[in-house]
Amino acid sequence: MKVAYFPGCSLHSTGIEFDISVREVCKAVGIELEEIEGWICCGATSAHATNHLLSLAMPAYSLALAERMDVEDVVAPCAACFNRLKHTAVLCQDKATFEKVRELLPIPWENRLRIRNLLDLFVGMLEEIKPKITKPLSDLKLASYYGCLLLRPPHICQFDDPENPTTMDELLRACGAQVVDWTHKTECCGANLTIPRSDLVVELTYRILKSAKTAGADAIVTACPFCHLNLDARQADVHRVKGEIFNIPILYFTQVLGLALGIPAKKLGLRRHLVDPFLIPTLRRR
Amino acid sequence: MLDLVADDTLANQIKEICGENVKKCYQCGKCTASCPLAFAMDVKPNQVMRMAQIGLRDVLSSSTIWICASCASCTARCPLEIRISYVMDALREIALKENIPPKEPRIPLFHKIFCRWVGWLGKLYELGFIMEYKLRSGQWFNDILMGIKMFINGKLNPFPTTSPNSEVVRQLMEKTSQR
Amino acid sequence: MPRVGVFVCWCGVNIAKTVDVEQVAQKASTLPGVVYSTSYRYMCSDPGQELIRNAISEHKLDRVVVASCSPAMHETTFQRAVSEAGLNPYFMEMANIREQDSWVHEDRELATEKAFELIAAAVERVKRAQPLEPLEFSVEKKALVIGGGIAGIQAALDIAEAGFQVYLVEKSPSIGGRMAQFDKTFPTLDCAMCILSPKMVDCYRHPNIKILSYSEVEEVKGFVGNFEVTIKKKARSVNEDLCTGCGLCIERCPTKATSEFDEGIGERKAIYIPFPQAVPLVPVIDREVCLWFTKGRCGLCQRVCPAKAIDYSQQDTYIKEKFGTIIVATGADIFDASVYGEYGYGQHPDIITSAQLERMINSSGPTKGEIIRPSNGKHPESVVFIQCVGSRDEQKGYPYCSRVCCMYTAKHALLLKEHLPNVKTYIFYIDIRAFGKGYEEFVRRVQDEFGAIYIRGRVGRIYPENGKLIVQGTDTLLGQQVKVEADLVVLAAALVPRKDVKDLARKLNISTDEYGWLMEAHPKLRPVETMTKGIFLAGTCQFPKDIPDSVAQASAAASKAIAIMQQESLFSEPVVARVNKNKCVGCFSCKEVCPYSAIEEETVLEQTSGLEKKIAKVNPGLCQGCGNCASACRSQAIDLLGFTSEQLIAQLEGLAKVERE
Repeated sequence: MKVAYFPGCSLHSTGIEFDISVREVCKAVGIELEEIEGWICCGATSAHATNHLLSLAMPAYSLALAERMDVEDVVAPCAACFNRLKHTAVLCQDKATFEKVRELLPIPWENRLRIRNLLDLFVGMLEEIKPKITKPLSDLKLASYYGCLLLRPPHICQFDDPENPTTMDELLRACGAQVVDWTHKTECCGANLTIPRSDLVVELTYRILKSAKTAGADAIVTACPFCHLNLDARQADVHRVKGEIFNIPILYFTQVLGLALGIPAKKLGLRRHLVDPFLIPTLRRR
Repeated sequence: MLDLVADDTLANQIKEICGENVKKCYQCGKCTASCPLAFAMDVKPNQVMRMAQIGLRDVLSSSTIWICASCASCTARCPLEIRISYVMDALREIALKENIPPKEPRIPLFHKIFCRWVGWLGKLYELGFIMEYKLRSGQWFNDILMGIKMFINGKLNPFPTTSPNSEVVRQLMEKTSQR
Repeated sequence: MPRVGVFVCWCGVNIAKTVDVEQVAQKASTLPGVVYSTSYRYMCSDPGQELIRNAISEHKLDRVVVASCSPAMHETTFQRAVSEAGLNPYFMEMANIREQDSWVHEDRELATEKAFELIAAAVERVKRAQPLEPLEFSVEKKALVIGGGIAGIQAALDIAEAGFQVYLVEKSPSIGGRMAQFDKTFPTLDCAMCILSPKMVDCYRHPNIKILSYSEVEEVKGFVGNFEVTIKKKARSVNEDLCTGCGLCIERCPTKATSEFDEGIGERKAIYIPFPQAVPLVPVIDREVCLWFTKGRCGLCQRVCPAKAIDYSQQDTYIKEKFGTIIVATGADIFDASVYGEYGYGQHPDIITSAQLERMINSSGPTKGEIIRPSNGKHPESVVFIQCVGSRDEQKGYPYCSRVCCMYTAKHALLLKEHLPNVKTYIFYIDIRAFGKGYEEFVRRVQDEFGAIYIRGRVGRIYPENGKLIVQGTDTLLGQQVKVEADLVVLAAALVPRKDVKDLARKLNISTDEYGWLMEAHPKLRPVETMTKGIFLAGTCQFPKDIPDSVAQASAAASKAIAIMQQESLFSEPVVARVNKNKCVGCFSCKEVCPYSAIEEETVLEQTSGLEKKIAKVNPGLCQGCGNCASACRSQAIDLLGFTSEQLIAQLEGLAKVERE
């Protein structure tokens, strides 16, 4: 299966290990990723928070580029990019909005491609993936963290139950891991407030980390580089402010799948996390 | 005392930008009840809706419109299907357009610098963007340790990645800001 | 010597768990007079009842004691069972060994002992029981409906359609009631008069309905099936049979008065028809203001009447009729909003009630459908509605919710916007109670599409300033005090009981609640009946309700009335009081304590002296068997059948004897 790949800006920098693991895992399960040539930033929160029309136009341009390729689906692993791309695709189903956006673009655009996130794609082909799982992570207890942007607003994302999602749980279980039942699956981490109001993000991530720890999770699994940054890199600040040490590694779901598929840890970027995943004995052996 | 005069201007502006009808809101408060950041807001989300409904423009100088992280919990749960997060976006847009001094100046500054870097390069050069933001916001030394660790772990790319189509981004920004 | 059978029920484990039922049954067989006793798992079940019936015939029992649950539960079940076996049903007595024993005790030994004692007492009582037969009396196949609003109209039509005669008595000159005053109805916005007037005409035309307008109920005697009612027909000063309703008299009448129908914001003549669609379409002369009656001159109406229908000499007349059933549908009054000094109703002309606005909106109203500021006759630009004026206010009004104000206020806001598209509408409310079918959606429409601004909070005060009214209130959702400039303020005044309702209740011998609403027999299960058999309630006389609820209740009351009247004769419970003529001294203490007015006076000849004396007599049709009279009687002349002093004393002795042993 060939899909258009929209990595997004974070996956070239703060979320580099997400990009690395996505590429490795897709190769292993037989998804051919073809990066959209010349893609531009989706605009992220900064565009939609300041200019509604711009927030639709920026993803539309990259989608227009993808329409030149021989694909049906555009895959955006980053939850934020997925959310913005999907916003454009869904809101432009309204004819007036579509026209307004199309007029702005220098190239033709039909809004015909499907926007997928990788979780959805993997779970859809779970029966093909399962036989390839050679190293199940049976003694790992994981908390699946969906955050906001994969699920909300539901009329846009149209992915899983917004209050009680299970897609990632299903994938993690297929990887042999135990999935804990916890309370903060879909709570917000504070996203980009991490730079201008890190105090608020510390509060929100504290609540999430605390919930995962209470549920007995060894690690939290995420699908979003924002969430990863806040939960991983802010743990030191949480310690400073709240006086509580968590040391909970934050993994991308692609890294978990990669390990289960038998891909060596070093090829999945595990060493790049700030909270060392190798604190977990099971992972040390990989 | 507040002089209450029914005024649809703000409600209409919001509708124009994002299509949402704030008048529908019946003030059940579920948005506030769901908001993870309500504790940090000066005007709670349901009050934002109330103010928008009756045309109280003070809402544009609230901290709320900037503190809102767009998590859309409110939107997902609103019983009247009002996309409250879009209303928040629209209020931010109006506040910027009308040059209303923001109560949380660093947040709009963050967005402004973000957009400028994306405009230059077509993609976000995170390191450059953060450095400029730090300098201009006065938050020079925050997060420096975290930054160093991330750099060592190879999570902060020292070189900008660019898109060949950065010109398109600039054009889109220009066209949409004229409207 | 009576032959008593005792039947002890296990009630599954309900009784058997705490009471040794077998031991009790065995021990009961030793009681004097008991010839058979047994126990069974469920005595109320079919096999249980069969067991009783068989034992009666096998052991030739003539008295039965069932030891089981409360008689409130199964008395009729076991009465039926024994009568099927040929015994008088009042030869069955229950001993309550569940509610009064097994459910309230834990000690098995003591509970078993108590069960035995209760049975012993019941045995003593049943041995002295007398056979009782139900009383039979005839039913008058005619109904009286008091009040000609929508509830009364509906009830009258339903009864008439079922083939019974109906007298529809209305106090005012026309039937139609409140609904006739309305412009449109929520939430469908049907024109009120368009849906009401066909029903009014139906009433007028129906061969089974007799409308007595401008009439009042004067006196009510008798009981279900046999009410004797005196109706006062007030002097109309117009001969109904001659009048053609041409209206010439009204046109020429020189005297004006305030119109009640227009809620005081319009005028009418001294001779008037309240509204164009009135039924009957016959004018009435208001003798309080008519020059003929006040000054003894004028007489213009009489001179111009082509039908010679004006009759100044008319007198009040009284009609006596017998009715089988009575439906009360007298409606409600509107709270006097001037009680709120801070709102200034009655002090400023631009502060009006919702009922007044309703008349203003109505195209046949005093302003011909123009909504104006009474102070200057101009259209208002900003209108403030205030809800809960008198409702939900323990200090100035009533603690209850009037149930209709939220909806009619929303309706007014909508109609206002339709009449004056540029008007600004503000509604101060505490909660929006839109509970009916389509109601919530209606209120939402008023907010979304008709731009009404709902402000959650009460208003503190209203004061005039620069030709406007300043409404000072609060928005509790914003947590701010607010001020709104208004041209017109509309107060949603509460619905309150009719001020003369207690009078009527006394005549009918029915009760009112703490506020004056007529009381239903049971708030959930008997909502249209009163405690007096044969008298039913419909519409807002019982509690505030909207048109659909009033109509539904009216049809329910009508079907209850029909169910009584379609019977050939009625049977009453034989458990009634009886006066011993020899013992009664005629003190009538009993009459004072009887809640059903069942005690009458009777003149008899005293046996010894041969002199006439007045003594008490119980009307068995009215008597409900409460026993108040029996306990109040100083000379022990009254017994309650089935609960005679002899029976009760024997029952107590039954208990006491066991204790002595």
